[in-house]
Amino acid sequence: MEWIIITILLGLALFPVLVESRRLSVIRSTALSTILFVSGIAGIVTITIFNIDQPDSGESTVVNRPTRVKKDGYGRSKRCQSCHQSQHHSWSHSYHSTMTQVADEAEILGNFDQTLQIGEQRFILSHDDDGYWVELKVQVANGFSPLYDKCKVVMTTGSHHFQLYWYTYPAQIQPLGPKKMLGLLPFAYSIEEEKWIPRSATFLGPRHHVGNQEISRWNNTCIRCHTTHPRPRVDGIKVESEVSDFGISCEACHGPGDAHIERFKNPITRYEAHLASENTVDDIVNPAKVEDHGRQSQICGFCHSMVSLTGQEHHARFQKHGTEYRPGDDLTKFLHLIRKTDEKHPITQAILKSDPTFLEQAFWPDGMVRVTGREYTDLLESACHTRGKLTCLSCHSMHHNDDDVTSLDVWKNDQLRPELKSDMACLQCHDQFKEELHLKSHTHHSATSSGSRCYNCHMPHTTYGLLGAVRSHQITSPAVQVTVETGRLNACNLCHLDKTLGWAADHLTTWYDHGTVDIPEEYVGVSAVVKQVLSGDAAQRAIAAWAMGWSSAHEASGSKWIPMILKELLNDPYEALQIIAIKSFRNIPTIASVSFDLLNASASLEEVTVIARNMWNQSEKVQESNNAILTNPDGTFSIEGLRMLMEQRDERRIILAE
Amino acid sequence: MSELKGNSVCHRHMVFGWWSLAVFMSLGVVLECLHALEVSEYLANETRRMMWRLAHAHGTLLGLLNIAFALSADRVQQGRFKLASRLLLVGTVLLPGGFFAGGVTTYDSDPGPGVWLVPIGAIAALAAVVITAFVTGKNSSD
Repeated sequence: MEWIIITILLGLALFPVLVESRRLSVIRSTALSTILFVSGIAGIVTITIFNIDQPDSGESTVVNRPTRVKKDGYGRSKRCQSCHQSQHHSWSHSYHSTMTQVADEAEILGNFDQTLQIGEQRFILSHDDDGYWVELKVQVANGFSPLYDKCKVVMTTGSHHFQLYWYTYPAQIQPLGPKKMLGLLPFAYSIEEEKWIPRSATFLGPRHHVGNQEISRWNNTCIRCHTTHPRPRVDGIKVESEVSDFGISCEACHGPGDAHIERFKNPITRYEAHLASENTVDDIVNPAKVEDHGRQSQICGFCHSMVSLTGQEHHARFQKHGTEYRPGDDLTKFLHLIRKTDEKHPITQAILKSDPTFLEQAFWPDGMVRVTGREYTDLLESACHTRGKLTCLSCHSMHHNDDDVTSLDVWKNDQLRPELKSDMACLQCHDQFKEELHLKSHTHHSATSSGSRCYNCHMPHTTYGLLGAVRSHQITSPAVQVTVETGRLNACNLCHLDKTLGWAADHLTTWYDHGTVDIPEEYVGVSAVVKQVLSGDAAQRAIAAWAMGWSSAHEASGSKWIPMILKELLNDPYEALQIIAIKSFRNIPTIASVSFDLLNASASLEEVTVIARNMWNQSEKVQESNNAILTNPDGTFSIEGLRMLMEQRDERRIILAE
Repeated sequence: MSELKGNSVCHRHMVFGWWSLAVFMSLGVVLECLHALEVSEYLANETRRMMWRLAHAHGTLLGLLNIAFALSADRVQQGRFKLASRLLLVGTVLLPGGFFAGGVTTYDSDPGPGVWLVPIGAIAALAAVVITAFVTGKNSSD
């Protein structure tokens, strides 16, 4: 159609000129017509060339990493940019866009002028004009190669909290075909700390003494959610992984764009759509317009959930061709959503056969997810979603609104819709609490208190992630009974760090008619957080230790007494817990001045103990707390109480991998 | 100038050219103010910014072109310029006007429907220039 328009316009342009040219000599008229005709043809040819889809330059010749290949209507995000500039701009600033990057195109954040070491293993990092390199003994079937190989770093993962680096597995170990099998440098670069951290310390798990290089982990696992339309294509040592785009790009949420682009190349079709009073036919999905709120949330749930492929046949198809799921489809037809509340499901049972502690590790006993990145699974257990219409997009927006006063740099941390980092998120439905009087009578806290913020009580930090605690996306109400049954700290005690479970139970009974709770003996007389940070399992210790560094909790509970207890985690067998303790110390005045070594936390223990004792003596909470924070009758710190709680520590092996 | 007044085509373009300059230079001042005051309705909308900048630039240049046309037309026989004159006036209205109207409503990177006036105006202006070039050349050879 555009060619008809061009022809008409050219005709319009030529008409007055040709009419006038009849008065000129024949030679001049012919020359003029010829010039105009040739110019017109040249113009059409030029436009045609620019409209032809150009293949992604360079990818067809790349053999040392997974490649971008256009398939099934999917392509690269840059083709969306010309029409959707604003959306593309904010997306390109998001951490979704840089989740996976080709190393040559990425901003490499780690310092590659050094040697890293885990036990006896050395990793010699370097860079030159040809790229970034790591010299290492690569992991093979029976351990590690005897010789060092210099491997090129070809891909990166992450750009928000950590950046990970993937290297091409050496040619002698990947003799067949393209060298697309990747290994992982077993160190992560912490962007916040500007420091290399052993990869094993970035997850909650027992200390590793060897550097697991997670060979082909990217090709088999990471590829599913860290790229767009992935095809793993792993067959033994023959690896030919392909994606349509690296990172979580436009078509991950909107579906394949080929037909949409073809349709709307035509300006008349575009303006028909712009001017139409009703929605016109489109070939692409706008998640915000998916009417079924469940399916809308499933678009995010494709990655942000605990899932398993449904059976061997599906797994084989996914390996070869990628997922058949398209945004707007029913996700449950393509993936099994693992829920503890549905643990009898045959697929879940099959998982439990190979990993009997899987559910126990990943979920709290009542079915709440306890490791981050599975927000859709949380949503499925929330009444706001199952009985209401809450979706991911009720609070989040994947594009920064032009009228959002929040800067792009702030917005991209959690991608919340304008003004929804506040009670407004809940007030969209529960608008009765817009009235200050109603709010105060509901929360029993002053309207400006952090205790009156909806999400502090209904989305407390009970999920482990990113070396800390993050908000659960299962919308709940505080209940001491749940703490007793599941071991998960309730919102009251997560803020009132110096209070016992009994204290929280009394208030909930008085304020909300909660029934009487039988407080277990081990929780009697001691702060719930103190109990868990010293006696809990690694997941409980992580959440309690994070809460001890939370500024809102400090307002409610003071902070000077905390270091005497928290310092015990500087010797914790889990590296992640040592780091969480250090991060919490940094939020506590005075002790924040200690220069901690993130990878050798116990080295600071002596200095911390001296400062902690002084702070203890200055704390007004010491006298108020009635021994709940381990105070002797004379006001000194109860070392005996500390020892007793430490002896009760739950030593079960916990691995929470995000 | 008195001779120009006597030539109705020249007079028309001289007046139209100066008024066009006045209007579209004023638009330029308005756009500068929108920048100075950080008006987000203008600055945050890349399509609108581009459309209104193009309206300002084209309107101003076409104003100058009208003045140049008036000065050229004064030297040749008036009748030969009638078609060019009409086309130039159409172009001077539609081209910058279309850009301006296209920036009033925008759809992502697409301007509003007013932008459809732009190619009509552009062709009219271009045709006026080409005809003027030929007629001026023929007049010289006469």
